[in-house]
Amino acid sequence: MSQLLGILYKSRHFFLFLALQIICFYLMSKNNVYWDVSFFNTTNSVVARSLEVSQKANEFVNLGKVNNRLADENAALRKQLTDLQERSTGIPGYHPDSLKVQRFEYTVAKVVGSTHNLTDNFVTIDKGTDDGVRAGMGVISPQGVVGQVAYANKNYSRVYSILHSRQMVSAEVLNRKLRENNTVALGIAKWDGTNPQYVRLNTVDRFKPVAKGDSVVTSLQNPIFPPHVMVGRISEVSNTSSEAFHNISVRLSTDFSGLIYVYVVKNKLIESQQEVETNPGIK
Amino acid sequence: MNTQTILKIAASVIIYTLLQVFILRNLVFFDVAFCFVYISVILFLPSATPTSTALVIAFITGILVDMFYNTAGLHASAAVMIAFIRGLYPESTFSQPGPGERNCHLRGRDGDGAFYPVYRYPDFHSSCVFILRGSRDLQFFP
Repeated sequence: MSQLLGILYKSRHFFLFLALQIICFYLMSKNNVYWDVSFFNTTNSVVARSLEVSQKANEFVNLGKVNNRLADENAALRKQLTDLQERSTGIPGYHPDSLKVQRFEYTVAKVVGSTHNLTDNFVTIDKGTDDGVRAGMGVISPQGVVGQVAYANKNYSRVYSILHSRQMVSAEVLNRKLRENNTVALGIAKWDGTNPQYVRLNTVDRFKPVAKGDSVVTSLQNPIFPPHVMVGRISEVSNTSSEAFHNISVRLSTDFSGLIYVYVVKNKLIESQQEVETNPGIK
Repeated sequence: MNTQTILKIAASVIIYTLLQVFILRNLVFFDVAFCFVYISVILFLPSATPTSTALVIAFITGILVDMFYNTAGLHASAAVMIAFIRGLYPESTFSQPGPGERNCHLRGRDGDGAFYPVYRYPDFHSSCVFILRGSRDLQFFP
């Protein structure tokens, strides 16, 4: 008997090993089948919390990548939105050509420099001709209109901000009265060089009903920007009886001091439109 | 085994587990190259540590890692296996000399042969992990 115990004692390590392995295999098989082991997995609250902390650190490190991805996704969604808007014009009998519906394309660009307190302000973006950016293309931000590409080299482009003395945007006012009357209040948005948060909306007919708070968006007659991109909201309307136009001040929706990402808008049909408009054969 | 040794072992368990769980868990190259640094806890145990103690330490470390990997028992099993094999080889093949021993094991008694097994342990551990995991994924367990 004592010899037997002696053998058992000699091989105690082996028995402990065996016992632990049996526990391990029990856990493994249980974990595999029922998914109900509540302690030895990541649903354990301590484990879950520490994993959460490490995940947060990961997220923080990846923020830049996530930003880029979101910007790309936004560009894609914006493209779909314009396509849909263009397709459903709501005018009976008018069926837009699919080529025309899909004429706008977006490229995401990062702002690498911008000014907003000079007379002529520019925005510099990190996309150039290599990415298909050409002079004359429109630039919008998630909040609204930014401007128009002035010059593009291989890797970078310079953009006329709407806060530039020579930059104008064809715009229209949106409100319910205008929609009911089935008219459009077209105007030209231009910066007067004073306050970088406000632009003037000129040449809006004084008989068109516009009021404070109405949205000002890019117009349908605009070859550079897709229609109905936000410009801003009317902050002030005044007119004297002797004037032909409203005197409108618009608060810009784009915050030029906080630009991070912008979309460069490419109109694939702009050349054919300009060819029609400036044909020298027609006097 | 004095208090200092126990504290050292406890610290190594905690540090290697944290390293494994928070850093190396995210470093899996090409979805195939795993890094299981936590077995250093077992490999760097003082050579005088009895096998039973080594088994228990291995089990605890393995279970801690398992909790984060959502693989209850898998790493524990492989680690216990390593700790058991460690006990089968003469103590002098281990890297940490006990009290009064000279640190002469690196050359080994007969060339590289005596030290060879220590290098094989990580391979053995990885084999265990992958075989167990494979059999688990293929649902060999009831």
